[in-house]
Amino acid sequence: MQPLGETTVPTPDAAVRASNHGLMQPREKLDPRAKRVWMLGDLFGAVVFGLVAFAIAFVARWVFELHWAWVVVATGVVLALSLTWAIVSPSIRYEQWRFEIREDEVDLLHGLVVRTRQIVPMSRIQHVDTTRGPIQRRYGLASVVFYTAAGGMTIPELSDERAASVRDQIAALAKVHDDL
Amino acid sequence: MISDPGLAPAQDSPDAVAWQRAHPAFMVTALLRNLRGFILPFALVAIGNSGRESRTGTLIFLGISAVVILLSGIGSVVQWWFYRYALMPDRLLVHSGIIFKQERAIPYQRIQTVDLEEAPLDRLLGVARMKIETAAGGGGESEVELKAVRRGAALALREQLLMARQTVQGDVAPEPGATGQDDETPATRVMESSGELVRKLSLGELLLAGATSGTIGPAAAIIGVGIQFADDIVPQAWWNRVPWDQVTGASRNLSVIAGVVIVIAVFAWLVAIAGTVLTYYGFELRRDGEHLVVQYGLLDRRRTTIPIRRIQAIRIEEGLLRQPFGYAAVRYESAGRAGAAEGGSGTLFPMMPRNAVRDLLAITAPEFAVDVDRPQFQRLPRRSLPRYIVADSISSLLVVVLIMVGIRFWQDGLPWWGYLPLLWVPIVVVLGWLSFRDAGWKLDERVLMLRTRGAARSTLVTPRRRIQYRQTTANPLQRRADLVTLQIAVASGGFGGHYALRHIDAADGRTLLLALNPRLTSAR
Repeated sequence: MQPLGETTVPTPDAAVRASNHGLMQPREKLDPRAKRVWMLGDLFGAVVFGLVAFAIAFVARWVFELHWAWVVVATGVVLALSLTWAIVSPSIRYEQWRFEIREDEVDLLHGLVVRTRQIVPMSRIQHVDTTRGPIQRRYGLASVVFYTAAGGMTIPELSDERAASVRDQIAALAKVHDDL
Repeated sequence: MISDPGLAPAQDSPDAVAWQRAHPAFMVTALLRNLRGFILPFALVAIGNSGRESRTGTLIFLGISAVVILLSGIGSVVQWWFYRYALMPDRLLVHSGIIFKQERAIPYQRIQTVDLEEAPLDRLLGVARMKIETAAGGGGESEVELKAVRRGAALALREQLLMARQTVQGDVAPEPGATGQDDETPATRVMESSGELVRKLSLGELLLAGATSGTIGPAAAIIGVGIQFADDIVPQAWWNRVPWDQVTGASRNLSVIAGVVIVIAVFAWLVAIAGTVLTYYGFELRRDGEHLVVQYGLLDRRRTTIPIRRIQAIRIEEGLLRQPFGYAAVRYESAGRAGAAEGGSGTLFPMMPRNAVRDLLAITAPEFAVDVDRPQFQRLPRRSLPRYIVADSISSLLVVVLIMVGIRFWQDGLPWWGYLPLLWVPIVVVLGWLSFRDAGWKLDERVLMLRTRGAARSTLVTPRRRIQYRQTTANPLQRRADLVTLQIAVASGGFGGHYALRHIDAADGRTLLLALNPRLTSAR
């Protein structure tokens, strides 16, 4: 097993404090390489958006007999916006992502515009996946996906080792049945 | 309690695991499955070609066929090679995927069903297909599908998995030794003996339900069909005889328009009553041991069996028109899985006095028997009122303005009745205010209640232990007002039932997130 960093160890202490003294913010961050993976993905998305915008503008020019400049302007605006998003957003999104694997619950906090805090009891988790897409594999990253009877949730962009250990932690804790 | 605080060692470092692959017959079945999709297009091309005696055409056709078969063959081998599974001491591991890699871990205790299937081809090759499911949602697809396992080995593996699971019982279906069959057997038994009657819908309630249903869908459909009929069937000559001058003249006459509107409204109302009578006539709720049986319908008699322990949430719906009469409909959310009893939401009782709901639930689903008539709900803070009104008013105003612009173009100017759509905006404001006034939550030792209003006032009752996960979201406007939206999810059908209470105090949101920890409940 890979050695875990300080912040990644969910001590029973932490769980008790979380239960007794209000709700603590989750503490662990994603792997910093997440920023690069997201940026690559978003750049690819920006190119696609640009092409779609160009196609629509091209058809619109033909239908409404507009000037060529409009096609250039429309494509340019869409490209500029999506490129800005691709360059600016990943580092902010990275800073906004926090998670914590506690003994009894998984705690997620994320979202740039809509801040979302999700808490999933271990005793509700049915199974766990790690998934790795092509870009993630280039950077040695993986996502952990875990499923309840009402849907799945993702912790994206962890290092391969951390993803594997998170998956195993959740799988080990999820099988513990709360006597409800 | 747990002795090991979340530091389970990673038992499955890649070298230590004894990986297994599906039976090589997988490659044959996968190849045939891959090719199946090509049969039709190829047959069409072959037939299309057969007339012309062109050598190059035939060669190209054969060449493409060869390439397709070759690629499918390689694909099958690769699929087989990259799909591996391993039985770990406490979980089943499955690795799959070539470009998108997936590693799935399923604790044995979470396995709900292990099904074996044999298609004729499988039988020929002496293999079986194995489907392993957990209670996780996701539209009926199995969590693991081993597409070819030797038949003997499959039975042994099935035993092994079920044995491993036996030690601890599942959660959504908390009965020991659950197998896929247990849902069907009691259901068939129920078909024979109908159990004891809990409540029957009276004729008065049925008619009241129809009169207050407020649905215009069926009427709209009938009018639509009628117009179609008039257009298609009625001969053109008849249309020509209509004195159109007088019709257009009359259409400018206010009382004629009002008359037509009233006739249509009454017609829609009667259709809604008829529809409700057809659907819910003779509605009966029975209890038979651990199952509830619901039967209804005039022409088409429907019957639903609901295992009580699978009910995840109860919803009491008071329609805008029904609330003044003190009447409500009771609905349920039930967990289910593909193949066994289908879960999802349904009607427990369509129309009953609100103050009788508690007694009904006490008999049918005691876990949910709460006083819904006078509960002390936690209200929302005053500052969330604008959040309920502003956004909806603005969007409805936009729609109304669009409609008015449309009328202006259509009529070459805006007649006095063109301003009538504006009346919709104050209605939206009032509904927003009502939503704010009715919204609230209540949490006690056993259950969480959320009350919201769309058009109908809806009170959700769910035991704390049934909540699958909980979350709060806050958009920028909410953050500025220190508000959050609380969402909870319960198991229901394939994708779960998701409920939200909008714009509650952020501190209340944190309290609820914390307090809904099932560990705290069981510790009490």
